[in-house]
Amino acid sequence: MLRYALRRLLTALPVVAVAVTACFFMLRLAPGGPFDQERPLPPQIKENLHRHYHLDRPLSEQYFLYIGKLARGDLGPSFTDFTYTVNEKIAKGLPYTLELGLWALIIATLAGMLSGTYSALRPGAISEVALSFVILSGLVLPNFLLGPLLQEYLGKPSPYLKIGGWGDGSWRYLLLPVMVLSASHAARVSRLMRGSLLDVLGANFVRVARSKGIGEAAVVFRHALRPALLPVVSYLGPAAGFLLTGSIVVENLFGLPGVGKFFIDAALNRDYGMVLGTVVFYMFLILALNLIVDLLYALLDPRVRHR
Amino acid sequence: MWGARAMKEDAARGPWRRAAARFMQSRAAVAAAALLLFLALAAVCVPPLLPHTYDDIFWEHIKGAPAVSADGFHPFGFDVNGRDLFARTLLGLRVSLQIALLATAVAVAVGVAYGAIAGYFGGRLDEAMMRFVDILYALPYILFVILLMVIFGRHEILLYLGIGLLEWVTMARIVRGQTLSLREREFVEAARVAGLSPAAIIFRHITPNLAGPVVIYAALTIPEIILTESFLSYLGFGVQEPRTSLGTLISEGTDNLSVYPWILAFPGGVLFCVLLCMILIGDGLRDALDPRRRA
Repeated sequence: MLRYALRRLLTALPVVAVAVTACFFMLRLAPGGPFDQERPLPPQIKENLHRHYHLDRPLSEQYFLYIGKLARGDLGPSFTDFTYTVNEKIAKGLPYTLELGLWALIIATLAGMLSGTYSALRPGAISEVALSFVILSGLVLPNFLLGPLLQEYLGKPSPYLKIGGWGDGSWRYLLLPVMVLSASHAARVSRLMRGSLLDVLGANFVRVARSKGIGEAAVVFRHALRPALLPVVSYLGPAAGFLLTGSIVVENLFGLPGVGKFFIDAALNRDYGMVLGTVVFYMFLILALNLIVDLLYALLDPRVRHR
Repeated sequence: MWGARAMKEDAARGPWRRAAARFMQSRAAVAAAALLLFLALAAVCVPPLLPHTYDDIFWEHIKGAPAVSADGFHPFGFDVNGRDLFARTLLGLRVSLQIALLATAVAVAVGVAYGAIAGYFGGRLDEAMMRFVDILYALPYILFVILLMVIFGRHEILLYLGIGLLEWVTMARIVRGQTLSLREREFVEAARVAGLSPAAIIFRHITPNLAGPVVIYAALTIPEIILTESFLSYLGFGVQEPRTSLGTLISEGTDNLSVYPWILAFPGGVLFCVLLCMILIGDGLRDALDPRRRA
């Protein structure tokens, strides 16, 4: 198990290096810069700004400067916000983003697993057809459409729910953004769960378990659920990544002070320092999550470890 | 005599005919295909029949409610600039469908070629090519979206290609996996013994056998692409005015939801229907083509 973990970690390192390099050069080569505003800056000031951020050096030198800082865990300065570095901004926004994402991940996974299991056990029933319509709706409603609809028709009439801001972080503020963020993932998990449970229920070992005369509940819960969970677990890695990036839209819709909000603001202001820093940070986060999920998968499925 | 002929006819009905018959048995998928065809035809055929175009401005009807009378045919009402929403929704639908088809074609072409080459040659090349795919997987999707906006912004065609180039990655993985098992089969070995070049083996003998999984995955890619495009348009980086897409219309609609709900209801409803149909068709295709589900 430890060897498997080490091997996964070692293969992830070159991926990170190439990805960081690609991000750096793509952003530096994109046209327009943080200091190209509607009213051009006096050349002297622009030159000073460029010198301050080392933008006057050759690209390769900038790159090695950046990598050197990154190796020490420094994501560099923001080009438009002079009071905070990228590290400080991410540290400020991250707790909000993580709390939102974690709730959404938990709720989406649980709701998806429950509804998927239910619809696999009752194929064709009226309740299953209705449920699958709800799930399909969750799948096809984009979050920027679902968000305003919930704000207007659920949040505004309700005396309990708030439709914007973080407030004191209680469920009144969090319920709607978490719902919007988790909808499509709950739907995906549910469809995955339904499909894989149906496959497993048709497998020979389940037929054997049934023919031994075990009750249906024991067949499902003791024999079928664990192998059926494998695709769901392997989807959790990408799902956690999508949830983090999906929170960009949700944070903007609900005015929450997370990393995603900073990211959109930075992208609109062409604040390359902040955009690059956020992207690199997200990348590390997603890679770490994928690694954790792979290890979890290896725990559940011994075949993976010994390959 | 009779039995032999029946058997011959059944064998003559190739796998595709049998898959089509299975698809027709799924009522939801057939209904979805019919509705989608109807919407697509409406998006192409109806706009020339309307007395106004998508960019005609009716100054006295800014944000006007739906109205059908002798004065004019405006079943969806008017948008924030007083343009007819029916014509604009049809245009948005057409643009969204165009983007989906073109981008899917790009994703399929690139993904199949890449995956088949990696899977057929295997070894070092496969390792290197799939590591590159892993890198693309690790990059946050949103970065590509932002870069697309910065670099391609103003050109619709480049936008289609760009979205397609984002979606080929999963296709490449699926195709590679299939190719790995196909290349061990006898008919590929026979082709190799017959002295065919690797290119001929890959494109004449392997890719036709990939059609099942490719069709299934392509059908699932189309709605993803429509969602990506509408997300880009929602952020204001997609199709440029006065042209429009469903995402742009929805973003205008959400700003006016409380007082002028129809500005959101119609484009939002159309997007919902189209995506729902596509998912149902995709499910139907998967059930019809996936051999494991032929129980």
